[in-house]
Amino acid sequence: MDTNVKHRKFKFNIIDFVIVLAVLVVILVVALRGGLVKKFTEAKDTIQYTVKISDIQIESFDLIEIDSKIYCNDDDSCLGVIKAKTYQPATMYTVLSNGEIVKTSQPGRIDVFLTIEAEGTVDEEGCRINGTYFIACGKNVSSYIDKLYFNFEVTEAFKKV
Amino acid sequence: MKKQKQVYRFNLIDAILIVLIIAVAAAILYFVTGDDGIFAKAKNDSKSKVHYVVELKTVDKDYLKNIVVGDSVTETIRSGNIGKIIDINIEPSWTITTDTETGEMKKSYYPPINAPQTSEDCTVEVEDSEENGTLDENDLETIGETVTDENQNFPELEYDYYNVRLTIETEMDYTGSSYTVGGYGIVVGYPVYFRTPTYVGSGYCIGFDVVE
Repeated sequence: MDTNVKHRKFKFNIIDFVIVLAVLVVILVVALRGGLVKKFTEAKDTIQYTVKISDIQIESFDLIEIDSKIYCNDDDSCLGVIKAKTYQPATMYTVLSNGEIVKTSQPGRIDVFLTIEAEGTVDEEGCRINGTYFIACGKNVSSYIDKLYFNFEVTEAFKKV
Repeated sequence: MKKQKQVYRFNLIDAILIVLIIAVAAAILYFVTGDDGIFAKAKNDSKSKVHYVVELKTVDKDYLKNIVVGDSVTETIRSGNIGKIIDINIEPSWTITTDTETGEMKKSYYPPINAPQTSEDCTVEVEDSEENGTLDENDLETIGETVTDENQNFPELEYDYYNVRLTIETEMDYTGSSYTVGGYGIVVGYPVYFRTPTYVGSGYCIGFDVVE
């Protein structure tokens, strides 16, 4: 039985070259198409946006605290810090027996309006919180703060100057 | 000397090579055939210019300023460009309701937010210009600028919600059975989930016209 262990001398051959080249091509394509280059070169902006929380109980208003962080329910990412809050009676529309629609409000229920600030990017494609999460007027988001879960609709979003 | 025949064995290096070659091929394919790939322009030559209409129901009046002619439209599921807005039509939002006494179904508008409740709401009294102690129609200042033949003055009505029709222009491929833009099929009756730089919404395609 041969007990001598022969150490093979490493030689860089064509197979190694193909592997290195392939890895480089994959990295390059991912970087270009995935927007990694753009992400690292983009400047950070402050995005200010306003949202409407429709039809919640009036007691919940006190659970919303200024300067508290708000999170996306889908991926737990931070969507910014609440800077202001107001409310008004929750509006609803009722159809009368003659088919006419009238506007009314619900007792004990309110619509809440929040102003939120977040870091992100603003360019010709719109506002992206943390450079990735697109927001614009009309977008519905499932979110939460430390004491309250709610859905909101973005009513306006812009770059804070 | 007897020559020993070498037996081929599939090893780890072969597996890595195959995976890498497939990855490179996929990457190159993706790079050159995407919407903004290097062959995209050549592909555009075989496309048809299409105008299609998307109807958005019950859009808040405060959102209307965010829907702008010229904005590019991105489909939100796959984030592909599906054209640009070339025209916007709005009308007060309405819904079909039933008069439960007669059973008649009718088109009912949401109430205007500045609707006059009484005839007094339509006019505002001002000082008597003739100083004779009586007021005539010349002493009534109108709200708004619309004046009817009967000299009754009503302000232009404003509503909380509007229905919006967006006309979107794009270049589409015809696959033989349907029109697609960036692989996304659009035809009358299909829901369209989209965003512009300043608005996110959804609606149904209600019109489709191949222009060129």
